[in-house]
Amino acid sequence: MNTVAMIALFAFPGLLFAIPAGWLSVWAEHKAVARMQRRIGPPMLQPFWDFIKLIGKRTPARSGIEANLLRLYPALSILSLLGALALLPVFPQNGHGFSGDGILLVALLELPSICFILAGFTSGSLFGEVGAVREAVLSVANNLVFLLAMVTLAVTQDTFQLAALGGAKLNPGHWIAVIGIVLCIPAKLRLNPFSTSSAEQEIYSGPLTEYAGAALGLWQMAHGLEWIALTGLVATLVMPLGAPWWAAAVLFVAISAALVLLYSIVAAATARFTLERSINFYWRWAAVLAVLAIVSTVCMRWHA
Amino acid sequence: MNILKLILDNLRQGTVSYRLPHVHECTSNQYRGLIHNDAERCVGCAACAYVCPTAAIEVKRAGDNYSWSYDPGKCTFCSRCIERCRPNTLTMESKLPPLYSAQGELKTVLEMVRKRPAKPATPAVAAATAVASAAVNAAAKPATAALAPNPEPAK
Repeated sequence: MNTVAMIALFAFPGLLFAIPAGWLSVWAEHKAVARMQRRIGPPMLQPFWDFIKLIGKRTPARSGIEANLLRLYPALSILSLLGALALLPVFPQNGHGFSGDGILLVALLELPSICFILAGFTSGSLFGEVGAVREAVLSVANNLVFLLAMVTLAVTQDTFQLAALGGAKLNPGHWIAVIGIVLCIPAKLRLNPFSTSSAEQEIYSGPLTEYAGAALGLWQMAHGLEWIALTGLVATLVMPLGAPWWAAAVLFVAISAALVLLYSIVAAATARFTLERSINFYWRWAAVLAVLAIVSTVCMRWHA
Repeated sequence: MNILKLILDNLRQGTVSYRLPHVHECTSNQYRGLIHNDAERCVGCAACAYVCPTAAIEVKRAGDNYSWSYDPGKCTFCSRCIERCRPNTLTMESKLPPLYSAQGELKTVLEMVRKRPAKPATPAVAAATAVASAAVNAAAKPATAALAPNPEPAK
């Protein structure tokens, strides 16, 4: 592993940056939604103290539940998200990434969702199973658009290498694809209006209903990392190329923060969609956008 | 887009909630708060412990010594103890109890010596005492009358 990859994995945008930034994103979303609802909201360090509190709790042993599997899922999610973060080309001019790392990124970003679904079924809770089914359906719905958008980006640059995907900014297909990815992120983060899988008023916490203590703390950490990985992906796709490293880092953080604010406004302004309406949104409306992006891109390539 | 206008209005108007812990202003002087016992005046009758529905007040005796304990964690602030306390040694605060994190953190234990009230005389002894005092008074009366000057001379 070369130095650039080590820095990406352990420093920026990996472990050292992503964990506190993930907590900060979760706090910012909670705080922003609270202020829009005239509540004071949590203090800044609340997600950190929640994690410390949960790590220190002893989880009672329950019969009939495979506890090791339940612990494995959040750990696997964290590892896959750290891998995804390490792949993000924040400093593409440093020879970052390898051919096809975009495909690996898509897989690593999807693994937490799969773990979330498996956790729901493994927990043996009725609410967990209902939440897992909802997450699975929602995942199929939003991934159609997400994958089409990623393929569009790849077609524009003729490669799946992430460092090159942000290079076709003059192509309208690129921006339509980015909008498609932006539309998919609320569903991947389980935010309103796509929070059906963890609808607390209906099914408690969905797949996480049976979780407590350290395992729940790990899930919360994974959720924070999901914020950074997904908003960071959009940031790397819209950042101008060739910026000095410090400007790239500042832009990465600024764009991610702007997206956190945008999603907070959407979460505060919308009610939870039903599952059917969520599917309609992605397969009927967002998919049109994604198809338009890929068709326009293919046509442009064919024309050129 | 009414919801966006509502969000903007909310942001402009500021918050209506507050961060805990905070200083809460009691709006009533009849607020039912913590119970206090005046150890100087308590006679240790344990009537408060007897009427307490949740056993928040306990009185344990050991000879003339007794301990009076009060656990606010169990208290329902019904004030029955205060109504029953004859020497009126129990009082109730009219402010919020402080926040606490450990069970029994606000518990109060008072170690006291029982103050036995003066025993009232039994009816038979009282009657005999009354008769004896009446006889003493009757015997003393003429002498007293003879010694005393006539307050009102006959006209």
